Amino acid sequence: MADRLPLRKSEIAGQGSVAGLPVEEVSKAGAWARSLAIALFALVVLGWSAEGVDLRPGEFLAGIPSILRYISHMFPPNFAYGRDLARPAIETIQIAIWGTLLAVLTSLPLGILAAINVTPHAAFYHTARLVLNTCRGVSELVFALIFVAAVGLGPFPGVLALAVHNTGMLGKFYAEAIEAVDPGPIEALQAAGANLLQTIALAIVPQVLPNFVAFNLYRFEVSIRSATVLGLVGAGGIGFHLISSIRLFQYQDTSMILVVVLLLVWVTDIASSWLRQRII
Amino acid sequence: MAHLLELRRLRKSYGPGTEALCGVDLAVDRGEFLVILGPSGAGKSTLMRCINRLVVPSAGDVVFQGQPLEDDGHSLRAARRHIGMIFQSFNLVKRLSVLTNVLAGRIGYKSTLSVLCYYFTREERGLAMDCLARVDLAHKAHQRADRLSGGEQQRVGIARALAQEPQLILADEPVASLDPKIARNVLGYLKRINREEGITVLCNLHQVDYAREFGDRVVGLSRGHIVFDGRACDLTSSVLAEIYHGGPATAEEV
Repeated sequence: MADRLPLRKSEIAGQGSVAGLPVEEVSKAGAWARSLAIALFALVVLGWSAEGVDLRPGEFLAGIPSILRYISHMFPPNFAYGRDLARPAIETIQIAIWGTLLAVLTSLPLGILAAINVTPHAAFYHTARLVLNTCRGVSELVFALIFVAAVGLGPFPGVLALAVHNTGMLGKFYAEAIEAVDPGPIEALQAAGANLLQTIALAIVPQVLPNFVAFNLYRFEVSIRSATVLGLVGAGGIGFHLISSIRLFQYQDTSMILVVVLLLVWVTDIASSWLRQRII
Repeated sequence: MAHLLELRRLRKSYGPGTEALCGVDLAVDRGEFLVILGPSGAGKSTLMRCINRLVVPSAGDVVFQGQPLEDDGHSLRAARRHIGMIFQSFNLVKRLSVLTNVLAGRIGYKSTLSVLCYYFTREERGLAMDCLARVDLAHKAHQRADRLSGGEQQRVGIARALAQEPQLILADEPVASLDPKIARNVLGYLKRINREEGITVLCNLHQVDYAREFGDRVVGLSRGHIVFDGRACDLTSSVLAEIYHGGPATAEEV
């Protein structure tokens, strides 16, 4: 049905126009047909997905009162509980700090190997990309489960999980930043007799440093958010208290925890944007 | 006496049918200011990059100070540090200071570790300041490179090349992105370095005026062939026609 449209349009355009114009009209009609086909395809995908996830707007609307009831149970937050939360909140920050820092160390060499313009060999490039994709593709919660099994409960498996996942993220960012550098200075230093490491140090590092700082701060912010749920699988931080308060129906404790989480995220955002402006 | 630089049957092809250099023979003596003149796409840039092997030639030899240049890393780097290079787009590290950019010229002499630590000796700093003074930019040493004007940045490029204490400077279209007044100023610095310090300069240009004004010897390059090699004052209009429009002699030479 979609390809009837261009035919008709080109016929119309062809009737009363000078040479050359019909061709343009045909391509215009072709573009129309293409847009229509894309729109139809998108609709099909949306419908198919809606069926797959069992979208039931009616039940959501019917459920609103119970959501409101749940929320109303949470008020007011149990502020007295805040004192008990100081320790896990600090631990959450500590997990994020080490989970980001370790990732910076591991993703630097990987990012360099995964940048096509500096990698010493295609084999390194493909291996580094594969490692980074694996680290990035698997959620930090899955890694946390693995590390809890390996090193036991507590914040340390949380640190490891964040470090592995962040390695995948940062390594890809680094590689892309390195690939986007101005090749001119690289060429200039090579012409002066520099080897690969010297070229990286003097021509590439200064160009990518501001981006790297920004990526690291961003991943630190994300790590704070992630670290608040690592406790769900026993990997330390405030998430452990979150899941137990929910399981014990301590609504007002839950809301107090959420308040602390929001505070953490908010303070981190402010701190890192302040740092960003200072450094970059 | 042996030539400083000799190119023998130098060829470069970027794939079938895209010959950038079609067997170039050229000998350069110490102290020359040699202008390579030709239109865009004549192969000037490829020729220059084949000399320090930023581009690996397809065939032929580059003999520098009597030694053929090889592609093995160590000896190539050792040769490169004696050959300074100046680029059309300056190729400074924009976020670093002018002084550090000049110090980068010493990179071929330094250990990897000292460069990783950005460690430069007092002597190296002194030399770099001296190089900056020779292009009259000592007062800008501590500014960020991208704060400087185009002409100043190119002078920093010259200072960086000087910091190598080079035998030869390759200048690839050094003034193509500068306006005429600044261009003459920059070429003047190159010329002065050539005259006063005896450093050999190879300079790619596409403007005939500058070639006449600054070149002692001019080599005309057209479609990968040398079609003229003589004094700047012998650049007649028929010679120029051959360089710029590829006269009959060019086609025959293949």
